[in-house]
Amino acid sequence: MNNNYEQIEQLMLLKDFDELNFQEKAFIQDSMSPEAYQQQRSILIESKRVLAQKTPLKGTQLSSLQAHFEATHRNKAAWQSRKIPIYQALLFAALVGFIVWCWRPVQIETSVQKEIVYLPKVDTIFQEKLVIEEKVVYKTKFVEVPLVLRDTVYIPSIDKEQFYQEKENPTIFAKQIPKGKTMKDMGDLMNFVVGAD
Amino acid sequence: MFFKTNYQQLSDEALMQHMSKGKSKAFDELYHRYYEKMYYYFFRMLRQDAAKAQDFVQDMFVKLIERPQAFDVKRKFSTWIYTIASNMCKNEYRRKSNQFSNLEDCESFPSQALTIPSQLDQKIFNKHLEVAIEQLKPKHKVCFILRYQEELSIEQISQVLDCPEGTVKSRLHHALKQLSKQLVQFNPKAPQNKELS
Repeated sequence: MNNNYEQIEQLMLLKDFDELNFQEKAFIQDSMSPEAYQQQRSILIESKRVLAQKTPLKGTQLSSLQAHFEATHRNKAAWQSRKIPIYQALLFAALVGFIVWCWRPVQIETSVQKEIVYLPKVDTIFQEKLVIEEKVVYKTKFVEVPLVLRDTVYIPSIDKEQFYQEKENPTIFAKQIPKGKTMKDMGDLMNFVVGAD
Repeated sequence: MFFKTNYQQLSDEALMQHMSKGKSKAFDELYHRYYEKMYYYFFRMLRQDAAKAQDFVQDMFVKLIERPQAFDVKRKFSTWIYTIASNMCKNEYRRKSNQFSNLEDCESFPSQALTIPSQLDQKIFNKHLEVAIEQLKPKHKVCFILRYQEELSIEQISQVLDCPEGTVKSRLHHALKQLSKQLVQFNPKAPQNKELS
């Protein structure tokens, strides 16, 4: 009945059971008997009538509420309209400006070396086959970072081809690069060239 | 700015916005629109205690004055104000009665059928109907009063009570069934608890 409550309520407010048509009677009898319908109908109509009866009001409290309203908004307005001396406002503005300047963002150009974009390519012949191509895109990106003081640190880079370092010894030694090999060092080649055998 | 605002033509929601800006005329207009309605709502919900109903209306308007920003402009004012009123009644039930720990769970007052002779005049029937309405479970009573006294739609009631429309219909159905059961003696033709129980 809960789903049809509004329809049943409307019928109850409008018609006696005897005044309902065939369909309406069938609809009502799905939920309740004709006696129950009549009983609930009379209760509903009387309830509406009883609830509509109003005892006269004694008087309103508008004046006291108006006073409360005025007091509440006067306090609010007083706070909002409080005057601030010009020098205080200027000092505050200068302070805010200084803080903003200190923390201003700086633009640094950084290059993003590699960005991989996957391009799905659907094979229209064999739908189940999905080919993914990899494409490398080089982009330049501007990144804003807050300005902070930085110390420069130089980190030496050692070419391992030219220098070497022994274990537990901080000294770095230069490698002696051999100038090349003589034919004398390569006996087999010498013999081949001169056809000694 | 240059023209006088006609508050009588403004919607409730617009009046609330003016009120939050400190316009006392907007408050006066809202008060005149809702004072009587809210008084009779509280009067019915608080066991027809006129003094208490007046205190509650006063408290409700004080709340409105002190926190107009609590009103969500997206909501309809007419349902929002009933939500506040219902919550106040709920708190009062909780405070007042040791029987109720929660509006949802609370039990009704003793609900045995009234022993009334079948041949009584309308005045006595009305009196008993009022008593029967008073004896409804609070969760049924609030739906019944919002529907048949305040004439809110099922949708509006569900918004006021923050519950599904199906629940509202079910509660209204139970309330009507309960009233029929309690006043069954006024309709000797009605079957004793055949469909009503």
